Formats: sequence, C-alpha cells, structure tokens
Amino acid sequence: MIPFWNYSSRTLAALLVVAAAAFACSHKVEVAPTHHTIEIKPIFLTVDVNIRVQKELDQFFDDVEKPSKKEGEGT
Amino acid sequence: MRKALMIALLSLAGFEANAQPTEEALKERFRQRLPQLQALEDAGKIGETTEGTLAPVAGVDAAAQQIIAEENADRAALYVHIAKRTGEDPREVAVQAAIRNYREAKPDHYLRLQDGRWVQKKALKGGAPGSS
Repeated sequence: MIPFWNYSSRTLAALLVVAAAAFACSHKVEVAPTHHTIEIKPIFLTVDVNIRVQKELDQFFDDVEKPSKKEGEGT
Repeated sequence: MRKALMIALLSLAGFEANAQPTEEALKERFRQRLPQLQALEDAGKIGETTEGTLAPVAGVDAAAQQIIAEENADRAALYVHIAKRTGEDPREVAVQAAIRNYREAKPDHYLRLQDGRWVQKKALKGGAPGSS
C-alpha cells in the first residue's frame, strides 16, 4: 500500500473531493415535538362556548337585564 | 264516586309534581329579584360560580340566603327549558350560563374559580372565558 504522502496531487485532490461529498451528503434528523404547551385560563380547565345556547341565554336575559343595565357592565 | 275522587286527586298530584314555571314567569321573577341581587353583588357579598349559580362570598344574612336559593332554583328551571329547546344537557346549559355570567360581570364583582377561591373579575389575567 502506498502511503498517502506519496500520492500524486491528482489522487489527493480526488480523495478530498470524495471526502467533501461524503460530508455534504450527511444530514441531521430533527424530531418534531410531541407535546404542546397550552395556556389554561384560570377559571375553566376547558372552555367550549356553545353558540346556540349562548344565543338562547342572551335572548332571555336581555329582556330581564335591559332596564337595569349599568355603565361599566360586561367589561 | 270514590274512584272518581281518587282519579281527581292523583291527577292533581301529578300536575303539582310536574309543575314547571313558564319562561315568562321565570323572566318576571328574575326581573323582580335583579335589583336586590345587583346590590348584593356590588357590595361583594355574593358572586357567580362555574356551575351557573350564585353563592355567598362570605357570610350573608338569612334574607340574602333566601334570595340566593330562589334565584338558583329559577336558574335551574330555566336551564331545563333551554336544554329541552336546544337538545343539550341542563348541566351543559348551566356551564354556558356561567361563561355568560363571567363575561357580563362588572370588574368589581366576585367570581368563584374551580378550586373554590373567590376573585374579583378585574384580578383575572386574560379576562373571563368566552370574552375574546
């Protein structure tokens, strides 16, 4: 076997090209996170607003509350 | 004769057992009670819960306890009405009512958290649920 210092400059250049190509082909695999942080509001653990029921409640209580609604309410 | 009397009594008993206030009757009772309840809420004596009911924040007198009990009974009846109409469970309607009550509460009003603590609405970070 010929020691590498005895290789011709052309052979060394070819070896360098092969080594560079090998490095260029390597890639890093990143694993996507499986957990997500979810902000939990302080009152309900889960809040699922039911639009239909909300509308029914609004219609009912609008009649009840309308005459006595005060400034600053619902803020 | 005795049989007819028995049927009449049973019918009356059944009617009483199924007696449910109409929504119009409930509306009128809510309307009459509202000023007193607002005064109690403004004074920080009562607050809204996550179950769609009212509860005392601290000790209240017998009259306040009575009005809380009447209000909660009428709210429960209303939740049944709305549940029937929307096909939801009354408990779900109660939770939705709680969301609405928290949204509509004034900044100084007290709201009860799921862990039982009472906080004023203005102290809540991010506001009440359903308010965005």
